[in-house]
Amino acid sequence: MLNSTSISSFAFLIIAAAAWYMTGDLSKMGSFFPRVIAVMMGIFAIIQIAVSLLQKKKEEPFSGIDAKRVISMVLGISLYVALIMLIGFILSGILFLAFFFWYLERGGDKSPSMARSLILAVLITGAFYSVFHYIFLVPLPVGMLFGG
Amino acid sequence: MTENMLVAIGNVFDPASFLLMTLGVAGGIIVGALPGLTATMALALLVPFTFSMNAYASLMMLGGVYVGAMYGGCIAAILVNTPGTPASIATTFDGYPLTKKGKAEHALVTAAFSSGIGGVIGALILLFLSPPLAEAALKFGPPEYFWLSVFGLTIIATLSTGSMLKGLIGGAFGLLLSTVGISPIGGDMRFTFGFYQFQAGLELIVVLIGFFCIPEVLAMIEKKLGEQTITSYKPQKGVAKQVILELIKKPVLLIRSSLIGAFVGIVPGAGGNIASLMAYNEAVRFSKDKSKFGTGIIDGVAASEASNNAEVGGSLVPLLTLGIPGAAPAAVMLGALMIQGMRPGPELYTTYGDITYTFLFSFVLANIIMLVLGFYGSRHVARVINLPVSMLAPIVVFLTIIGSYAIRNNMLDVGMMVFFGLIGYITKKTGFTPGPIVLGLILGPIAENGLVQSMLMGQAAGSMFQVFFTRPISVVLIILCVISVALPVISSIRNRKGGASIA
Amino acid sequence: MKKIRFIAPIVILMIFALTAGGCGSSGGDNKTAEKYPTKPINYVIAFNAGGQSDIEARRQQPVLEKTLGQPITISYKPGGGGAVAWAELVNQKPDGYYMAGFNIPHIILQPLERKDSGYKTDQINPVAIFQKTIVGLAVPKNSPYNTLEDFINAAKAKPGSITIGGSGTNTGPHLYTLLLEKEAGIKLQYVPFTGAAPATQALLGGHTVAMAGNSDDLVKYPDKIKVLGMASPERFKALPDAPTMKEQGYDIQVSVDRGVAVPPGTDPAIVKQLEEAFMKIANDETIKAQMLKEGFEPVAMNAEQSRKYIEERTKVFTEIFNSLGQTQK
Repeated sequence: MLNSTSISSFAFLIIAAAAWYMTGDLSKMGSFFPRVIAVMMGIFAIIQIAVSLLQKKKEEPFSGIDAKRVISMVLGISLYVALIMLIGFILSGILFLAFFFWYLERGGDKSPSMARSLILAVLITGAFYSVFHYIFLVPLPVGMLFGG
Repeated sequence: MTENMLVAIGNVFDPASFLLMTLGVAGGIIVGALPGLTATMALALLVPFTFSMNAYASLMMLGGVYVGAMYGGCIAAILVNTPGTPASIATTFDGYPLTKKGKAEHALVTAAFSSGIGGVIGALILLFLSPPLAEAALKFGPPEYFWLSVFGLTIIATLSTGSMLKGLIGGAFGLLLSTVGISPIGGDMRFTFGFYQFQAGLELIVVLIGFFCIPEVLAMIEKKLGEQTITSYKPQKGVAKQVILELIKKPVLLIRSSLIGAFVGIVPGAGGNIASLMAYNEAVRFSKDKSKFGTGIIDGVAASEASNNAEVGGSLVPLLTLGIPGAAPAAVMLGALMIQGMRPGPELYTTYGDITYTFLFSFVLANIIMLVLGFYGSRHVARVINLPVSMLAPIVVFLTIIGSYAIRNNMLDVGMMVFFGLIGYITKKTGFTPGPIVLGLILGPIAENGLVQSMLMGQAAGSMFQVFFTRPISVVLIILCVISVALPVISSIRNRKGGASIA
Repeated sequence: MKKIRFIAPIVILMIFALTAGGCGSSGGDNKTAEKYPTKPINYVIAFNAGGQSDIEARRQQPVLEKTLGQPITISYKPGGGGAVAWAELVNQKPDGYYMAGFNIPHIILQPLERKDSGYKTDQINPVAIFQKTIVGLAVPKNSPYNTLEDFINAAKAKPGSITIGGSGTNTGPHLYTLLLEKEAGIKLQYVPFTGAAPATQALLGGHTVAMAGNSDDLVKYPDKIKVLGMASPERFKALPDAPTMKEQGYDIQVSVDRGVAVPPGTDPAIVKQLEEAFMKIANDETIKAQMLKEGFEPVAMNAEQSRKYIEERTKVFTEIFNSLGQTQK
C-alpha cells in the first residue's frame, strides 16, 4: 500500500532517473560510473516500491513528535544560515543561541529567563569565535551588511 | 640501527620534546573533538613553527597532534552522534546509544583504551615491518582499488538496520552523491546545477555532520519537555577499571580491529573512515550475538577506535619508505620531513636513522600519553550530556554550522549541511539510515577512479577481463566479496532449516 | 543571580569588542594605499592543506609578515582543481586584503574546458610568479626503455597499448602527453589519477608503464625511476642527468607555474607593494636554494611580466587545445 516507504522509494527513483538524464551529454568516461549507479539505484527503488505496495504495512513515521518544536528548529536553523550571510557569524550566532535557549525551555517548571539565555549565548559565541578566529585562524564570515 | 635506536630512546625522553609532544596530543584531541577541524588542518598550522625547531622535537609534536586528533574524533561521536573526524563514523553506531543509556563514560574509556592499543600496534608495525609492507602496498593498482571498494560496499549488509533493500538504495544514493563535481576522468562537470562551488564536489565531513548530527538534534527536541530520550550521566566509581577488565578479555577483537586498521592505512588513499567501518563490520561478522551491535555495546566502540588509531601508524608506512602518503594528514607530515631536509626512502633509516627512530618511538609514547589523557578526561567530558536539551541542542547546531564552514571556508557547504540534515531526518524516519549513504559517499571516489582507470588499462592491454579478474590481489578481494555476500545468505538458510526465524 | 550580575558587564564588553572587531576588520573601504596594509591579509590556497602550494605559502608567510608589517592569514578553499578559490577571488573586494595562489596552466585550461568554472583567465590579476615545476617523462628503474627513443619506438610498434599516468585531466601532465602524441606521431593511453602521489604509486607498482610528472615529484625518487625527457628549454638544475625533450628533437615545453593574484581592479599601488614583498622572497638566495633542492625552479616575475606571461601562455594553450579537438563541455 501507499506508505512512507513507497513514497520515499519513489523519490529515490526520480533522483535516479534525473541522474541518468543529466549525465547524457557528458564524455563516456565521465558518465559511465554515475549512470551505472543510477541504474542500480533505480532497480532497487522499483523493487522496494513493489515490495512495499504488496506488503500491507501501515507506517506512521512522524507520530508522537512535537511538530511545533521540530518545525521551529528547522526554520530557526535555516534562518540562522541566511543571517550568517547577512550579518555575520557573531551576531547571528548570538541571536540563534539566545532564542533557542529560551524557546526550548518554555513549558517547563520555571519560566525561562531571557537575560540568562542572552548572556550564555554571548559567552558561547565569543568563546568559539575566539578559538576559531585566533587559534585556528579560520576567517569566519562577517556578513554582507558589514562588507564581507 | 641499534645505535640509532639508543639515541632515539634518549631523545624521546628529553623533557622539552616530551612536553611538546604531550601538548601536541592534548591539542590534537581538542581539534579532533571539534567537528570541522581536522588533523590535516592542525598539522598544516603547526608546520611553520617547525621551521625553527629541531627535527626531533618538531616531528614528535606533529606525531602527537596526529595521534591525538585521531582519538579526539570519538568524543563528539560518542556524546552527540557527530563524527568529529570521518574516521569516527563507526564509533557513533554504538557509542551514541551507550550515551543515551547514561553510559557515556563507558564508551569514552573504551575508546581511549582501544585507541591506545590500536595506536601502539600500528606504531609497532610501522617500526618493524615498514619496508616489506610498503612493497605490498605498491601492488595495489586501480583494479585492486575497485575491488577493495566493492568489498567495502558489502558492509551495507551490516549497516542497513531493518531493511537490506533500503540499505542498498541508500548506498547507491551515497555513491551518486560522491559523483557531484568534476569527474576524475574526462573532466566533465557533473550535477553542478550551474553553481561554480559544486565543482569541488560534496565535502565528506559536511555531509557527515548533516546526516548524523542534525537528525539527532531534531530527535532530541521532538519530544515535549520532560520526556527526553537521553538518560543523564551519573559519575560512578570504578567504571574505568571495570571497562578495561572487560576489554582485556577480548584480545581477539582488539588485535583484529588494529590489524585491519593498520592494513587499510598502508594502502594509500584508503583512510581511517574505511578502516573503522571495516573493523566494525568484522566485529559484527565474528560476533556470536550480532543483534546487540548498534544498541550500545562497548565492542562496537572498541572495534572502530582500535582500527582508526592503528591506521595512523599504517598510513606512515608508505610515507616513510616510499614517500607516498597513505592519508591526507600523512601528506602534511611529508611536507614537514622535506623541510627538515629529509627525503623519504631507505636513507631515512640510515642517514637520518636517529631522527626517524626518535619519531617512531615517540609515536608509541604518544599513544600512551593519549591513553592516560583519555582516562582522566572521560569522566569530565561525559558530563557534557547532562546539559539540559534546551542548551545542548542549540549548541550542537551552532557547532555543526561553524564546523561545516571551517572545513573549506565555504558558505554553500553550510547550506548543504543543513539540506542533508533535513533529508537525513526524513529518510531516517522512513527507515533509510545514514550509514549506507555515507559509506557510498566515502567509497564512491575510490570505486569510480579504480573502475575507470582499470577500464583505460584494459583498453591498453586489449582485455578488460585480464585487468579485472586475473591479478592475484584482485582475485583475493573478489573471493572476499563473494564470501561476505554469501555467508549471511547461507547462515540464514541454515537458520531457517533449524526452525529459527530469520531476522 | 549574583553570578549573573557579575558576568553581565563582561558580556556587554564582549559584545562591543566582538562587533567592533567584526566591523573594523571589514569596514576599510578603499583607503589610500599609503596606509596599506592596516589589517591582516588573507592568503587563500586553492588546494588542500599540506599540498605543495600550502608548503610554499608557509615558507613565504614569515617573510611577508615582516615586509608588510601585518599578519598573513593562510586559509584553504580547495576544490575543482583550484577553480572554486579562483572564482571566489575574482568576486572579492579589490582592497588588497585578499589574495590567492594560482597555477598555470590550470587558470588557462579550466575556463577553456568548462562552462561554469566561475572565472575568466583575464580576471586573474597577477602580483607575481615565483616558481615553476617542469613536466617530465619517467619510467621505473627496471623498465626496458632507457631513452625517449626506446619509448617512442615501443609506442609506434603497438599504438595505444602503452599507459602513461599523470595527475588529472587537462593538467600539465595531460597536456604534455597530448603534445608528445602529436609531436612524435604516436598514440598513448593516458590514465589520469587524483594527484601526483597516486600516479607515482601506480608507476612504482608497475600498473602504468610511464608517468608524466612534475619535477618536484621526479626528484623524490632518484633510485626508483628513470627520467627520459624534461619539457624545459634547458636541462633542469636539480636533475642534471635528465635530457630535455628539445635535445632529443621534440620541441615540447610544459611547466606548471605558481604565483599569487589579487581581485581585478585592485589599486596598482597596492599591487606594487605586494609585488615588492613577493619579489624580495623570490630573490632570496637561501629560499632559492631550498626550492631547487625540492625540485622547483625558482622564478621571479613581477606583476607586469606575469601578466604578459599569462597572455602568451593563454594564446599557446588555446591553440593547442583547439587543435587537439578538446572542446568546451
